[in-house]
Amino acid sequence: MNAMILEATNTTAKLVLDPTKNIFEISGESRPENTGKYFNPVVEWLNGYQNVLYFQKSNYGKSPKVSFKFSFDYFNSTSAKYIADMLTILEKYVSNGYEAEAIWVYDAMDIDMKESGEEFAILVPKLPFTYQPIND
Amino acid sequence: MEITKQDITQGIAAHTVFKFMDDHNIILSYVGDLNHSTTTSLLKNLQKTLQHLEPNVTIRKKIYNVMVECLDNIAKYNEKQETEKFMGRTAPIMFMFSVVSGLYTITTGNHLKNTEVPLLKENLDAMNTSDKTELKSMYRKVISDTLKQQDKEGGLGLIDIAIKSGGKFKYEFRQVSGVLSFYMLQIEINTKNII
Repeated sequence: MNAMILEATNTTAKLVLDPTKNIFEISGESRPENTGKYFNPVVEWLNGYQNVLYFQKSNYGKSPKVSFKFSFDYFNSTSAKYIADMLTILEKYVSNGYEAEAIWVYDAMDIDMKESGEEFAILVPKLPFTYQPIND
Repeated sequence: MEITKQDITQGIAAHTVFKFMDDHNIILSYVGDLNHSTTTSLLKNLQKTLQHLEPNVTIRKKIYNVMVECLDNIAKYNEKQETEKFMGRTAPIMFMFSVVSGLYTITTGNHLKNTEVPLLKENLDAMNTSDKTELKSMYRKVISDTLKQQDKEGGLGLIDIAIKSGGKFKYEFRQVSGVLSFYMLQIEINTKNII
């Protein structure tokens, strides 16, 4: 499956979905003009990646762990719905027997961002969720 | 060059606006069309202003978060078509930002259809009577519901503003025609409640 890489803009986050390097990360600010246009392909990619995990597990007995880093400076409420979508897919990976986790990276000074992560974690109880504060 | 009556009127208006803004500690005031590009430019300006104004990074981030959501909220509720018919030009919105002794106030204004008023009023009242725990539970419920219904957002923005600002909404709907009302929303962020 091809990597999906989107460079950051003033209003959209940087995205790296790279199965070869096993890097899954979204970072920066997210308030796209057309939220669906940005996130729908991401959601589609993540849904499709489950086939890759299935193939790897069936053929090699194990699939690589998907550690997805969510490292936002800011996201608007329209993006929140799609972030929940992404987390729900990761939770499905876990339910289907694949290894996955969410790493919620946030600025240690941004209490709202930490709390947002905690709210998402409640929505996906089967998905291991870890918090990673960073200091500037 | 001769000074016309119009020059004098504009001069008086300018002074009135200046005095009002100065008296009310208004740092930024915008009236005009709102699109993605004006939102981005307003936010850049506000971010720079906040850097000078507010030394606490946590508060700065909180204010910025609320501002973005407020601008998104105007874009969501602004009734462009009917307002253009009513005013005969592009539907303008209003955004105002002020600070007095650690109390940051964001005031927004836009037109919406009269038919939208009852539900919006009901939602605002429900948020005003909820504490932070209840608001967070409301936030999760809306996200869960929108995931199921493939809805775009479902009122999440206002709940987010209520959680992050920690204040109550002050609002007013002023009917301007048989179809339209002017919707004014005011949000306060009191830094004394955050530190």
